[in-house]
Amino acid sequence: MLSYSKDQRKFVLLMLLPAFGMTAAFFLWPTIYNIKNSFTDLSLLGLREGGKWVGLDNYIALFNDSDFKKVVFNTLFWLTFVSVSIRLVLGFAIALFIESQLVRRLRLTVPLRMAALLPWATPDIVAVTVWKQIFDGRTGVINNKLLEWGFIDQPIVFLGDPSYVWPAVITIIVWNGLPIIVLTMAAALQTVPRDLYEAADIDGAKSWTKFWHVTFPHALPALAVLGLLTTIWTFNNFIYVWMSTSAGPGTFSNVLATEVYLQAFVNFKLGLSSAIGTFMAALAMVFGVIYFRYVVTKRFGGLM
Amino acid sequence: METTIVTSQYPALELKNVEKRFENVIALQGLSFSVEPGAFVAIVGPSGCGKSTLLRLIAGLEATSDGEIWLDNEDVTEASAGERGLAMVFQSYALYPHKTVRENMAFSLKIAKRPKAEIESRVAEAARALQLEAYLDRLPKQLSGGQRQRVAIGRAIVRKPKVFLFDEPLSNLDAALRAETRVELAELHQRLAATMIYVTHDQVEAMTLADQIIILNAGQIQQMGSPKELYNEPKNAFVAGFIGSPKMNFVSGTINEGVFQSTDLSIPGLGQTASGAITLGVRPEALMLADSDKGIGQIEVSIVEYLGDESVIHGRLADGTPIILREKGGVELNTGDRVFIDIENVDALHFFSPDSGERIVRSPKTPNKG
Ligand SMILES: Nc1ncnc2c1ncn2[C@@H]1O[C@H](COP(=O)(O)OP(=O)(O)OP(=O)(O)O)[C@@H](O)[C@H]1O
Ligand SMILES: [Mg+2]
Repeated sequence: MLSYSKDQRKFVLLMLLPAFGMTAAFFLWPTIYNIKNSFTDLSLLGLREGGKWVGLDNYIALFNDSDFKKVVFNTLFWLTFVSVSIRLVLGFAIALFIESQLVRRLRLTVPLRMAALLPWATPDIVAVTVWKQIFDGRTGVINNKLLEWGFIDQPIVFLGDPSYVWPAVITIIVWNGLPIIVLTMAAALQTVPRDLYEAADIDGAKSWTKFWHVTFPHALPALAVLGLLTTIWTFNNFIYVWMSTSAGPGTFSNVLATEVYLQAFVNFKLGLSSAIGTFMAALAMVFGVIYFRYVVTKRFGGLM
Repeated sequence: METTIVTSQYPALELKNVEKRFENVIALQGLSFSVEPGAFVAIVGPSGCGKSTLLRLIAGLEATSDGEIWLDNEDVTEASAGERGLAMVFQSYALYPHKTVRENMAFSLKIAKRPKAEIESRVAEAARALQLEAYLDRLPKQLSGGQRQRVAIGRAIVRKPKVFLFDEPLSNLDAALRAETRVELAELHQRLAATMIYVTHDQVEAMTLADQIIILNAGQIQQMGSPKELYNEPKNAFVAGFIGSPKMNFVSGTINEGVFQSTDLSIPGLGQTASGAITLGVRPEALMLADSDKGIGQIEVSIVEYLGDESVIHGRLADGTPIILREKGGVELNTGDRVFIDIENVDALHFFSPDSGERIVRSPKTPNKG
């Protein structure tokens, strides 16, 4: 541990002040403003006169609203849990393949790493637009092929049909969000000391045992950090759902981020929208704390 | 090549004409030797000569390009590392960082699905032998280098393998700990009566530990034999220079009518050896300071290393050939002094062909190869 003299400490504080000021101005102030608004009935049309203090009314309204429960479920289960799980598992699997002996022997490791970068280089909005065309009910390539091969008689409106909309949205998210998982996990896999595999070989371990006892423990810290980050990034993501379905059909695929938008800019209820925003921030915080306390620090102790 | 004593038992390990190529690099070539059960064999040689590669071939971590490897009368050339049932101690220790000392040692037994009670007793036994009992629940990173090293050995011991493989296991330890662990390894070998193959580039380690030493250079066996054989009858100048510390002195000259003659040295009385150009090899401990005007020649002292019980004198002949000699006790010499040197016994002299480096045996009828 470094120890500072009194003067040094003053200097350190002084140097930290600008960064702290910026953080306060851009994050702390809007947060406080938002929390304050959430206790009012502020309307987008009545910004000048401001809102009336309504106490916890906005929150009570939310928790009594069964539609809101569905929005929370959509956000936590479909948007976050399913898409993050698929990305982590699939991304790790692809990373394992790219870094495997077979691919290395074929000298494809570097080309594949490059290929894995491609979706990342595509901006979210471009990706969603292209995917919308692919999924389109009339002109989409998927429907064309399915019709051509005779799997279906009627085209499927993937992004407009309750049975298909979540799988379709999740496909888009997974495609766009895989690269960071693949590349991070590929990097993590390269740090596993090779002689551990050899020691395991000599101990008589088969591939599966080597994976669980050597590869996996080394990959876990990276996987855990990715789990936390992608969860937070996805949980409050607005673009994927809004761009692909506008929360539809109806409000079938509505999530918290789109609900914030709908309440504020469609229904003009800024107060209610702020309450939803505050609720989202609280959820993210609870998740972050639990995750770090119980998963990251407890499970893999000093390894991170 | 060393011929093996034929007993009713099969060799613990036998290599038949083994070759290893990495793409276009030939790492090992024409290796054949066998190791008796219970022997301690050291493999020594300079860096890059193929020691680790040889050990990895035996372990099954690397496939042979040619030749066969036999373990206890069984051809294991194609067998995987796990199937060979050997234990290996890595230079880096290669302990599983997420497993405790206990789990590290128990891992192979667990994979082999041994009963729990047996695993526990074997780990406890190894821990006791290696004084690791207090550390069983620690992770490797919570141990010192020496303790990790013992865990790596413990992991090997619990398997009760027929053959132990060591790749420079002491090279990460400091000098004192290395000397200590060396003794422990020797004791371990006696207690377990297991076959051990030990790679090192430290010839002192090899000399003190091994029953048999294999000297490797550029992927080929230079000589295999007991420490005594290698010291007293090195097959060529490479072996002679590699074994012994400080290194053997080499002086090129000619031999004629039993007299060795170089620009600065003259040694008569060698009997009827070969004649012609020859390289003389003489160990520092076979040389001594002579009274003035006597001896085989004169050197100019460049440095004296005083070691307490002995002194190592570094000097040069007039033609620049370096000469090292060891004297008991201290000596009153300074840089630049010119002193006469002598040999204790002509039997301690070695002769090598100046071209091939092969040993030339001092017997009357040996033709001069050089
Ligand atoms: N995987 C590999 N691919 C190509 N060449 C290799 C490979 N492994 C070893 N070699 C080469 O084989 C030769 C022998 O290497 P090896 O590691 O066995 O040497 P060593 O005697 O153990 O050396 P050191 O004392 O430095 O450990 C070296 O020239 C090395 O460059
Ligand atoms: Mg080596």
